Amino acid sequence: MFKVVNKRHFTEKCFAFSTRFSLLICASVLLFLLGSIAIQGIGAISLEFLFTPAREFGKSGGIFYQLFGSLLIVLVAALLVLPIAFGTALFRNAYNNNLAIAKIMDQSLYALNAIPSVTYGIFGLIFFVNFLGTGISWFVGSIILAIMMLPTVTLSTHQAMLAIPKIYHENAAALGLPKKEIIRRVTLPQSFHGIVTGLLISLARAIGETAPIMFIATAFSGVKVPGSLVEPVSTLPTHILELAQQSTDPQALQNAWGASLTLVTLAAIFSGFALFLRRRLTPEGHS
Amino acid sequence: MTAEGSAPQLTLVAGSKSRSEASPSAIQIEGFSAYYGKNCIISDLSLIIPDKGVTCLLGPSGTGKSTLLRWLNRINEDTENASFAGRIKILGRDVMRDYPDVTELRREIGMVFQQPCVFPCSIYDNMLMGLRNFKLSKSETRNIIETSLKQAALWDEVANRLEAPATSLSLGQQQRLCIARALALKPKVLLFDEPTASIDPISSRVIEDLVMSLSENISIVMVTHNIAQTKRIADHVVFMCDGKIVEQGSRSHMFSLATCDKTRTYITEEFCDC
Ligand SMILES: Nc1ncnc2c1ncn2[C@@H]1O[C@H](COP(=O)(O)OP(=O)(O)OP(=O)(O)O)[C@@H](O)[C@H]1O
Ligand SMILES: [Mg+2]
Repeated sequence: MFKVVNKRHFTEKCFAFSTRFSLLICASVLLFLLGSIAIQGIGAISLEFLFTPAREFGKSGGIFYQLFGSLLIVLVAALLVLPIAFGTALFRNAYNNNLAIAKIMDQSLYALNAIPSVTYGIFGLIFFVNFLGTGISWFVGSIILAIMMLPTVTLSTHQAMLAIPKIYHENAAALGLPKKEIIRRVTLPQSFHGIVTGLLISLARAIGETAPIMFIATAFSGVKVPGSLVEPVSTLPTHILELAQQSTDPQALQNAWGASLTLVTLAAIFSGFALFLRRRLTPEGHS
Repeated sequence: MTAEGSAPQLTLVAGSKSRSEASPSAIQIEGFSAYYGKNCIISDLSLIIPDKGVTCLLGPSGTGKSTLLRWLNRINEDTENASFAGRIKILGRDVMRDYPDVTELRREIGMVFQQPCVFPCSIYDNMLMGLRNFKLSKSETRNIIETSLKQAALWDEVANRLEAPATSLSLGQQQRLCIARALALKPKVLLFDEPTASIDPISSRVIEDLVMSLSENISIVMVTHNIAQTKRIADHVVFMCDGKIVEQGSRSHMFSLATCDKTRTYITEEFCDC
């Protein structure tokens, strides 16, 4: 009897140890990555680096247009995805009573989330750049990123809507509010945190994407502020790629680390803001 | 009834004359059956609820009291799988046929639920919630809000903090806010589903007094599990069991002359095996 208990005790300890060990591996990989980017990149970072254009293919000068291009492309993508994601989630929650349709919607969103990002790039190249003849265009890049962000934002909004206690809808309905007013006064304010956090998390991911926009929205050099929707921009990920290819040059390498640190910091800002807002905006009564 | 497109008018006197002359009863239910999916909860129930006064709906848990109440203002329409058959007339108007716009019905028939539920905005905005559908001037709105809060015995407690979040009120105050919110729409009938079940005894008494004073002008239907409360406030008592009405009558009848054994055991708070 005593032996059995002891044995169980031992396996439990082993299990607890192995979970801690996995955590340690995860954390150290992350720390190593972030640490090396921070240590190597911090030397390159200065206000001048952030706000002057690149020269000599990035070997000297800064990353101003890349920073601008990256922010432009993802922020416009966010604006595009916002109404569509909200509309989709709203339809799923408030208007659709058909279980089969709901299942199909959920499955398609998960499937959309699992598609490799380069596939989106190829789709954009075939459909927009070639078939519609837009040429290399930052706006097409924004559209493609918006499609990529759609599942995350929709699912996060959907979850937030699902978490609204039914009693709020019933109380609003009992006051004679028509459906669209219930959506405006109850659903929208109480699922707002879901939209915003989903958006910020997918922004953090989208800003680092290279593959989907490489062939359709970006150019490696000589790009400034676009004057129309169908001009290319330069972005941080493509810039880093370009600099990495010249990594024999210490100056280029230094700038690559600096651009990487900027990119990681931007992603961290988006994620951090998402966490902050999640805490601030989550209404009482549901977590 | 209002013309298409125009905002409905808010009459200042709760439907005392309009249609009630034709029908001395507030609510007439005929051959009413309620279902969740194929599950029949209430079958072929008929009931007349008198105009004005408090009608208490008693009965063991799972009997279908809430279900019945939730069909009176058709709030159950939004519940998945829920359906009903039969006829419900409120103040002479059929709730299905005569109210093509369900929001009109719900403004006339107020409802207060078991759990106080205020919206996460200010006290004032909570009061405003149902009033937004009416074209009212600022001062009219303020007047209605003040009157309703006074009617709900809440004005003195919130008069100087109308902009405070409604969630900062105590639970008992929140429930009175819910009542005030419903009163602002000048309902002709008020439905209460165990309004004091999640509230402390003192706040409950405040709400009971409130319900009694409101019942002079408004017909009130109240589901409750509290026999003592029924004794205190009911004018009319309906005892339900297993989706059927076992017995009904005036308070004095039900508490002293009940003819059915089931009723007597339930009312004396003994075990009821139905
Ligand atoms: N949304 C629903 N879907 C399916 N069945 C339901 C639903 N709501 C209630 N029911 C069932 O209907 C029956 C009656 O429920 P109802 O809530 O009307 O009872 P009640 O008399 O109000 O009980 P209580 O006193 O406990 O509130 C119960 O058996 C319940 O399980
Ligand atoms: Mg109930």
